[in-house]
Amino acid sequence: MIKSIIYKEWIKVRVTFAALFLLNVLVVLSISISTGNKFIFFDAATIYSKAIFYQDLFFIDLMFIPFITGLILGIIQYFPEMNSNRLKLALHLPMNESKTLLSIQFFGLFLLFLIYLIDTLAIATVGGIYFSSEIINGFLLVSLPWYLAGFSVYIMISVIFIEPLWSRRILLMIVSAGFINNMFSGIIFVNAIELFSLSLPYFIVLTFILSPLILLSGSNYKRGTK
Amino acid sequence: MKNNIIIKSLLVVIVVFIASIYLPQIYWKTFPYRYTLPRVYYSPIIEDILILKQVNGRGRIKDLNGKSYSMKEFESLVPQSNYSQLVYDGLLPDSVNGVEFDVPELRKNFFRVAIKPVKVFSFDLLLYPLIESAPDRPNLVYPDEFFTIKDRVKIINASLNEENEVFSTIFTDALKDNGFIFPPKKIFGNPTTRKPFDEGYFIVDNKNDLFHVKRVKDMPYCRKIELPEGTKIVYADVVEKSLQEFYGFFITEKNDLLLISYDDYKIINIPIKSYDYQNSNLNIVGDILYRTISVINDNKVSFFIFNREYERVTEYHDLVTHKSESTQGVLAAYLFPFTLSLSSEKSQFINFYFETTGFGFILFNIALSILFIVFLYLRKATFKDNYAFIALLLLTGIYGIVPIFLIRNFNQSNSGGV
Amino acid sequence: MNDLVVQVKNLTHHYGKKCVFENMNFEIKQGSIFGLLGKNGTGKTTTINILNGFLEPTSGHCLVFGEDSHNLSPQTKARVGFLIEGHIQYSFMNIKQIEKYYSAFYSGWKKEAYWELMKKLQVTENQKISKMSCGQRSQVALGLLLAQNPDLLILDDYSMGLDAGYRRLFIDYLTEYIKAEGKTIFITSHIIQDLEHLLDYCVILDYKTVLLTMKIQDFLRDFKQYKFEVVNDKIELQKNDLIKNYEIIKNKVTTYTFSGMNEIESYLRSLGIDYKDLHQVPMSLEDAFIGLTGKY
Repeated sequence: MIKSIIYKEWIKVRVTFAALFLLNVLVVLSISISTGNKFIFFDAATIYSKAIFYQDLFFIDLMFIPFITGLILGIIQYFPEMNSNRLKLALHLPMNESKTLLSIQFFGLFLLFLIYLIDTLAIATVGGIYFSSEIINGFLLVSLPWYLAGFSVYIMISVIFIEPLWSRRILLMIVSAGFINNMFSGIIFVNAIELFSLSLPYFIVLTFILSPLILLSGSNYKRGTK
Repeated sequence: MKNNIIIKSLLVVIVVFIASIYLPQIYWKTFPYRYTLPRVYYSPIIEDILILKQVNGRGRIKDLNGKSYSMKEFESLVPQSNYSQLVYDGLLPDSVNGVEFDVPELRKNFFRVAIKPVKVFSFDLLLYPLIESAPDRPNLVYPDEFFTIKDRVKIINASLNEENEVFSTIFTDALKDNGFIFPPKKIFGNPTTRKPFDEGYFIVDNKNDLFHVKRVKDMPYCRKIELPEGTKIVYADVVEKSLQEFYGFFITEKNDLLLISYDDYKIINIPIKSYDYQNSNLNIVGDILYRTISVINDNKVSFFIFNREYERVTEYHDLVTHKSESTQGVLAAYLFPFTLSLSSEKSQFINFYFETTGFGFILFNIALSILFIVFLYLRKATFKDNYAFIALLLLTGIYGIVPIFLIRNFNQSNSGGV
Repeated sequence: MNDLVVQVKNLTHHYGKKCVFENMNFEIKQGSIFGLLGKNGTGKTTTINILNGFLEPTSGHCLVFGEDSHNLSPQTKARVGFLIEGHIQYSFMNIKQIEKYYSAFYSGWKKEAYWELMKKLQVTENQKISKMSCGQRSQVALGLLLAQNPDLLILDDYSMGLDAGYRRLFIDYLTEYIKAEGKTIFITSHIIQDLEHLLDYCVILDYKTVLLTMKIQDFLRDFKQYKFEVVNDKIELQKNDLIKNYEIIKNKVTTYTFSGMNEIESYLRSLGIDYKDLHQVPMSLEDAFIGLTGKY
């Protein structure tokens, strides 16, 4: 039965997923090209020093892309469910309601994970050509909060769209904004490599703790409003 | 069971977490606390301290007896710091206390070093540039070689993105020959070419020994520096100035301030008090006559004045109104049971910085709970269902308000149990 | 296992301070066709939402196959077919995908029932639901329900947006469906005329109250319309136990009652009303409905 839910979700989002995948690929591609160019025009030592002293992350253009990807995927996945109360169709299925909602959400998270994995591999590969592994590892650490922001915004969209009460939706939006803002919080040092090194595990846990909130929205939905 | 108390608790935790970060931030942005610190100077003419304070936006200068001085008087009384102005006015003395006041010398002997906790708790660099300290040219050149030290010295050529194994080996061997134990704990230095010369890096090895390492004509220079027994260096500010009297200022775990002089790495312990490297700001101002060291804490500032031989001349202490003692601070203590911050002035790392300010908030929380009970009464809700919310308000006060309205809708008489 | 499919006990619901209905009681036995009738805004959708577990009532109970409607087990949900108002389905799928999707959830899925209907629509397999007309979409929804073959079919305003042809088609298929043993149907509608020959029982809602709960046959037999003329066209009547509703246009009065002509006559005489030509007018279900609930 979960397979069928995934089948339906896939039909719903496959075009968007392809578009988002393409977006990410294009961004990574443009980063690769501009990085290559940089190394042609400037000497390596200068670029290295800029990278090390927090002035120039070669893949800084990627920063908001995971967030946008998560946001768009969330909207495309959950808006049709809420339009005309279609969520009733899903909740009426002869399946544990929590399982239903979580299946939909986990599928979305999985798709995001695929895209982010490709982003990471691409950056690591391209970067690895020009930069030593020490620098690449540091860079990948910097980008982790950006992916967390993408997962967070996706999960919060699922929570907000399913929540039926508008006043609660707005409160949730404010809370989400606060939460996600933290992922970009060292924005001045946005490329400070070890910025999150002490707190990253907690942020990973905090991000995925958001996931079950969709069940709270679901139970609010079943309670009904007006 | 979809409507689970665990999930609701999660929501409460997350919302309280966010609220405790942003509500205090918004508060302090709206009611900022500003303060200025006094500046202390020693006058060799009157042999006493002069204190410069900002009062109502203007500088006021007084001595320890309370006598006021004008700016012009001040400049003449503290010529070692104000030489530029005195030269401009044509008032620079030829010498003071037997020391000749030659302008280039005055300039050469002037330096400022600031050591803050945020610098102590800062990131290690991914790679360090291996700057050639004895170049064939008048200026330093940015090198193609970068190094990192883990269980050996690894030197990489940036242009090739490959390890330079020859360099790696000779530098690793040089360190090993001097008794360096890998991996190092800390590497200190100035990885920039915008300085008059390069002294390389001071590296603390795994056993807390201190080593001076630099690149001289492509060969490694390595010396182990003899430190007093049990000294652990937690921070070093390497000073590469034409003065060339010392390598830099070193802070130990026991909050000692050490100077390592050019004279065969002699260690000079500069005796200061009230310094805690994790919380205090340290400012060191050096001129041709004195060394003025200020230790700035949350509620106290201390100034220590030494002569060039690092003998104490005098000291001065003053109290500072802490943020928590201001009106805004007192009010904040009532409003906010605790403050969570992800960043700190005292560290570069993003982490969870938790702060509490006394128990004033208990009163406010009780008031909020009472308000809530009145609200429940007006909405004709049963108290029994809402005990958990009352408890939440008592505990988290202002932060608990939002989670309550996210969980329960108070318009219907039976909307959602906990 | 008793044969009560749905039990509604003292169901009350308020939206904030506004009362929708109070103490609604009815039971739906297995094999019956039950109609929830009422004008727009009388609480039909509210009742449906409570029945399907999408609204928590202010008080009272609603049981489906013996289980609390808000917490139906998956096994019970498999036995309930639900048509959402407006024939809502996933518009991004085509008719082949949607059948494949739903078939995985129900054992005993009868795909022939679905495709038989789809053939009649003369659309291709790849026809996207979003690009279908209202009537065609209602067929898709109906087909999916028939394929599911549920024991209880809940239809929330099956007639919304359908023209007469599609409405009739729906009724025809439902009639066929109930011929199978033990099927129970619960319909809400505000279009009464189609349901006259379909329903066994009805509950009629008015603003805030349940007007009646009874067998259609009984309702049509017992609820009567009496018309008469008056000389003095300034008479006043009141709604009471006897006169459920009335209408006065110039000197022609129409009354609706569950009582007989005799009771009406004695009542009019007791009020001193001078009447003439008192006669019963036969009513269809729609007439009776309007008679009970009023024209506005």
